[in-house]
Amino acid sequence: MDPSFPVLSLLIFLPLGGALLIALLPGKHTPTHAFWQNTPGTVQQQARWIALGTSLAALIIALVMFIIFDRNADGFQFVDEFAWIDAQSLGFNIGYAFGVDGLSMPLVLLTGVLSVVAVLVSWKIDLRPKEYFVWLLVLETSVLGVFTALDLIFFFLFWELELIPMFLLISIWGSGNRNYSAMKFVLYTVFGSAFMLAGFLVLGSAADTFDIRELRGADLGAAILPAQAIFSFILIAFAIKLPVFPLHTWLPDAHTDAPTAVSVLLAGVLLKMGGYGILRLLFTLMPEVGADADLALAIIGAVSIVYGAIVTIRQTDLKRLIAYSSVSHMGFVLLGVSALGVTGMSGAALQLVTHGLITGMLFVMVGLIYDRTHTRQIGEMRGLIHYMPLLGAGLVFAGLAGLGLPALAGFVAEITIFLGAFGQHEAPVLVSMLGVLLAAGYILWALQRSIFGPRDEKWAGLTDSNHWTEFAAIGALTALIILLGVYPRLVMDLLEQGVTPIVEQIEAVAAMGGGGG
Amino acid sequence: MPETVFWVILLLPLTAFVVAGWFALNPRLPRSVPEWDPAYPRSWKPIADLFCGPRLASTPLIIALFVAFLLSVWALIETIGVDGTPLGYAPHTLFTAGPLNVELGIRFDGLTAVMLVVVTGVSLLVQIYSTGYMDGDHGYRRYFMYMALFTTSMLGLVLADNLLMLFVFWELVGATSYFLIGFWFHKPSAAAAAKKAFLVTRLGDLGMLAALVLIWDSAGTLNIAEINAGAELLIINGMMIGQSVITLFGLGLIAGAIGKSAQFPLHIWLPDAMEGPTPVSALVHSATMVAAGVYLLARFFPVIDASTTASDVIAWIGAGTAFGAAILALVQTDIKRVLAYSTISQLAYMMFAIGVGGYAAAVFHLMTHAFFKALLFLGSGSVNHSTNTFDMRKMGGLRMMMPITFITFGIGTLSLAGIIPFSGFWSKDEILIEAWGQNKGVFVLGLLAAGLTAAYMVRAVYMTFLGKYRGGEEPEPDGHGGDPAHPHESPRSMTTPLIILAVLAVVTGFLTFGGEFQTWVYGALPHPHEGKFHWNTGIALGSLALALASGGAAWVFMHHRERVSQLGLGNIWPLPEARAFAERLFYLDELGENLLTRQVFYRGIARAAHEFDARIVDGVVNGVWRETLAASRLAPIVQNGWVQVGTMAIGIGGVVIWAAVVLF
Repeated sequence: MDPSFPVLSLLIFLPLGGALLIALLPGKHTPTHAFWQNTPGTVQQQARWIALGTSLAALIIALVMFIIFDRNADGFQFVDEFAWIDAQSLGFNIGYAFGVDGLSMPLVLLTGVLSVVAVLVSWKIDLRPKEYFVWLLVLETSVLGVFTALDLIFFFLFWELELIPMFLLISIWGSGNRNYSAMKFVLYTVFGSAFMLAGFLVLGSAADTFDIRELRGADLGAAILPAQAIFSFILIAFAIKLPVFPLHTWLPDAHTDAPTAVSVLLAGVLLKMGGYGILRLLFTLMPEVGADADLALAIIGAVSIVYGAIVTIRQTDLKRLIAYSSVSHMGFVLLGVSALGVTGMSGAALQLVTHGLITGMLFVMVGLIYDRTHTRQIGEMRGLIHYMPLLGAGLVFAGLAGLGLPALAGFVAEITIFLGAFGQHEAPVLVSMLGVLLAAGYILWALQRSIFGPRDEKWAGLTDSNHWTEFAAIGALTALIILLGVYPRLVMDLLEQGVTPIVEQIEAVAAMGGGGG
Repeated sequence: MPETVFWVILLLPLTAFVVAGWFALNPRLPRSVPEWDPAYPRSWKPIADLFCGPRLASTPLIIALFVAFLLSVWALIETIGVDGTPLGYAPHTLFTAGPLNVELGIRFDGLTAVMLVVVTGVSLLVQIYSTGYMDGDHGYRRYFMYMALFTTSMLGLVLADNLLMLFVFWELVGATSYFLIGFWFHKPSAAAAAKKAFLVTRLGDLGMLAALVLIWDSAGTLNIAEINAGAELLIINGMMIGQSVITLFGLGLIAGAIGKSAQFPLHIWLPDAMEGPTPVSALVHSATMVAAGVYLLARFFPVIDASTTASDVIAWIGAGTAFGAAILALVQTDIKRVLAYSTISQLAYMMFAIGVGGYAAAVFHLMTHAFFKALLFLGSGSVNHSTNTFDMRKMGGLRMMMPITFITFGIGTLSLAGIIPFSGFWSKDEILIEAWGQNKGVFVLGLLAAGLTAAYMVRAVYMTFLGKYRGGEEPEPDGHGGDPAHPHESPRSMTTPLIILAVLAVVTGFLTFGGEFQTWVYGALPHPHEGKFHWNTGIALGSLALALASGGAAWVFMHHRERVSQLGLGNIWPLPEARAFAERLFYLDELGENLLTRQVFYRGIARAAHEFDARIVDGVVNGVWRETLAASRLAPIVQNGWVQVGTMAIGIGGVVIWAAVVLF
C-alpha cells in the first residue's frame, strides 16, 4: 500500500460518511428505490443496509491494517498528520495527527468487529431507524478517533463527541428509566472530562505541544501544576470511564436502560477508552508519577474486582448483573497496569480486548432473549433453554468465557495479569483471585435460575434464534473468543509491542532518579 | 517414539467432540434410527445402526477412544523399555508477554503412561456402556459431545508438561463435568448440583492458582520437570527459593487437589454430583476427574515430599476423610451415594499415601480403584436401568433377575473391600504398609476405614441383590426406563463393559508381583527411588481379617435384621444420636452451603455491599446532583442584571484563583 495513502483517516471518517448518507435518505413516508434495490424499500431497510455496509467496510479496512501492520517497527504506523491550528505566536499549535501502534491496533479492530455486531443486533429497530443508525455510526467514528488520536486536543474532541450519540441512543431508544440514565452517564463523563481538559491544557502549555509523541519525555517542570495533580486530574476521567470503585454507579444504570447494541458498544469499546487512556496517556506521558501510584492503582483494582463481584451477586436483572460484572472485570485492567511490567501491562491490554468480546457477547445474548421474553428478571426466566436451545447455549458459552474458563479469551488475560502483578503486589493479587471464584458464583447461579430448570409453558410460543443477523453476530463473537483463548498470540504480540516502550520508559525513570517524582 | 503420537491421542477425542457437537446442534438430523429397509440383508443392521441417527454422535467417539487406547498401550509398552523415565520433548511456545513464556508441551513418563491407559480404557468402556444406557434420551448427542470434551480435557491434564497447561485442562475438566452433572438440567436438583460442584472445586482451584503464580514469581518457570528436580535442594531453574515457598506451593496444590478429589472439607460436592447420568458418575466421579487431584499430587510428589508440613497436612486430611466418608457411606440408602462416599474414602487413601511417602502405592490404588469403582458405578446404573431407582430400599432380590450385574458387582465389592486376591487388596495393603512405617495415627484411621468399607459394601449388596424384590419405581413420564415390575438383565452393550471391568478388577492387582508397575511410576521421579513394594504379612492378614469380620458382621446384621433389632442394641446411647448425626452428613453441608454461603455471605456480606452501593456510593452521586439542581435555582440572585454584582463576582473569583496559584 502506498504509505502516503490516508488509510487511517478513511477508516475513522468512513462511518461518519455512512451516517451522512443515511441522514440524507428521504423521509419515512416516501418509500423509494435505493440504488441497489429493485423494489421500493422502507427507510428502515435502507438505513440498516447502509449501516451494515459502512461498518463492514470499516472492519475490512481495520483488518487489512491489522494484517499489514509491521510487527517489528517501533512507534506509530499509518500516521496521518498535518498542522491544524498553527499559532506559534500565541504559543500553541494543534496538529491533526492520527496513528496506531501495537496497543491501539487491536482496539481499533475490536471497535470494527463490535460495530458490525451492533448493527446486526439492531436489525429490527423500527423506532426512527434512520436517526438510530446515524447515531450508531457517529459513535463508531468517535471511538475510532479516541483510539487513534495522537494529539491531546483531538483525543479530547472525540472523547466528547461520543457523548452526543450515546445520550440520544440511550434516552430515545432505551428502556426503563432511560432519561435519568442517559443524563447520569453524560454528567458523570463530563465531570471527568472537565478535569481531563484542565490536565491536558496544563500539559500542553508546559510543553508547547499537544502531540503525544512529542510530549513523551518532555520536561514538565514549567507546568503550573505539579505532575501528581495533572496525573490525578486525567486519572479521574479515565477512572470514571473504566469504571472503578467508587465512580462506577453510572454504569449499571446506563447499561440496563440502553438498547442492546448500545450496551454492546458501551461495554465493548467505550469502557476500553478509559483503560486505553491510562496506558496511552498517563503512563506514557508521566511514567514517574505512574510508577509511584502503582500501589494505589493495585489496591483500587483489587477493591473493584472483589467489591464489583460481590455486588453483582445480588443483582436480579440479568443485564444489570452483566453491567456490574464489568466493574469487576475492569478492575483487572488497573491491577495489570499497576504491575509496571510488560507481562502485567500486556495482560491489562489483552483484558481490554477480551472483555470487549465477552461482555459484548453477553449483552448480545441477553438482548436477543429480551427481544423475545420482554423480561430480564432472572427469577422470571426459568426453563427458557427448552425453547431456545441456541440462545441458551450462546448465553452459557459467553457466561463461561466471562468467568474466565481456560481456552477461552478471558482466562488468558486474567492469568497474565496475575502472573505479571504478583511480584509487585502480592496481597492485591491474592485478594483479586477471589474475584475468579465470585465470578463463577454469579454467572453459574444466574444461569441456573434464568435458563435452566423445568419447562415453563408460558414460553411455549417463543422462537429460538432464527435470523441470519443473529447467527452472524453470535457466530463471529464465539469464534473470536475461542480463537483468542487458544491462540492469544494473534493480538498478544501486538500488545506486547505496544506496551514495551511504556515499560522501558518507566524503567528508565526508575533507574535515573529512584522513581521519585 | 514420536511426539506426534501424543498429540494424536489428545486430538482424537477432540475431533469426536467436534463431530458430535455438529450433530448435537443440527436440529434437522433424525432423532431415532430409521426403519430397516428389507431390501438389504438383516445381518447388516447392527453395523449400519452404528452410523445412522443419534449413533453418529457416539460411534466416532468410541472409535477415537479405541484408537487412543491402543496408542496408549503401545506408549506404555514403550516406556517399560526405558524404565518409565521421561521422554524429553521440547515444549512449543504458545505466546509470550515480557518474561512470561507460555508453553505447550508433552511430558511422557511412566506415570503419564499408566494414566493414559486408565483414562482411555475406562472412558472407552463407559462410552460403550452409555450407548445402551442413554439410548432413547433426548440429549443423546449432547451427552457424547460433553463426554468427548471431558475425555480430551482429562488426557490433556495428564499429558501436560507445565503447570499452566495442566491448570487449563484441569479447569476444562471442571467445566465439562459441570455440563455432565447438570445434564438433565430440567431437574432443579441437577442444575444446583452442577453449580455446586463447579464452585466448590473452584474454591480449591484458587489455591492452585496462587501456587502457580507463586512458583512462577519465585522460580521463573512453570515446567513440571524443573520444579520437581529442584524441590528438594530448593534451587529451581537456577534460582534459590525458600523452604516456605515450597511449603506454600505444596499447600496450594493440596488445596486444588482436595477440591477436585472431594476431600474434607471440600468433599460436599461429590455426593450431590450423582444427579448426572450414571455412566458420568462412573467416569467422572470415580475413575478420572476426581483422580485428577491424586494425579496432581503424584505428579508433584517431590514437592510434597520436600515439605514436612505439606506431607503432614495431606496425610491427616486423607486419613480423616477416609474414615469419615466411610461412616457416611454406611448410612446412605441411595446406592449411588454409597458409592460416592466410598469414592471419597478411597481417594483419601491415595491422598494419605502421598502424605506418608507412598507415591507408587497411591498411583497403584488409583489404577485399581479406577477399574473396580467404574465397575460398581456401571453396575448400579445397570440396576437403575431396570428398576428406575437408586433407592436400595426399593430394590432387593435382583441376583436372579440380573445375574451378570450381580456377579460383576460382587467382584467389584470384593475388590473394594480388600479381599484377597482381588486388586483392591493388593493396592490398599501397600498403602497401609507405607502408613505403618511413617505415621501410626494415619495407619489406624486407614485400617478402621478398611473395616468400614467391607461393612458398607456388604450392606449395599445385600439391600440390592439379596432378599426379596421390593418393586422399584415407575419411570418418569418422558423418561426411558424399563418396566420396574419385571426387572431384567441389561442389554449386551452394558453388560460387556461390566464383564471386562470385572476381569480387570481381578487381574490388575497382580501387577504388584512383577515389579514393572513400580518401575514405571518411580521412573517418573527426578531422583532414583527404591522400586519395590514392601510386604508385611501381619498387616495383610490383619486388614484381611478385619474386612472379613466386619463384612460378615454386616451380613449377619442385614440377614437377621428383625432379630437384631429386637435385641435393641441400636437404641443404646449414643448410637441413635451418632446415626442421626451421620445421616445429616455431620452437618457439614449445612455449615458450608446454608450457613456460610447463604446466610453469612449472601444475606450478610453481599447484601451489605449491595445496600452500600445503592445508598452510599450512588446515594452521594444522586445527592450531589439534587443539591446542584437546587443551588442552580439560586442563580437568579446573582444573574439579576446588576453589573456591579457580576463584576464583583468576577473579581472575587480572580483573587481566589490567583491565591490558589500562588499557594501551590
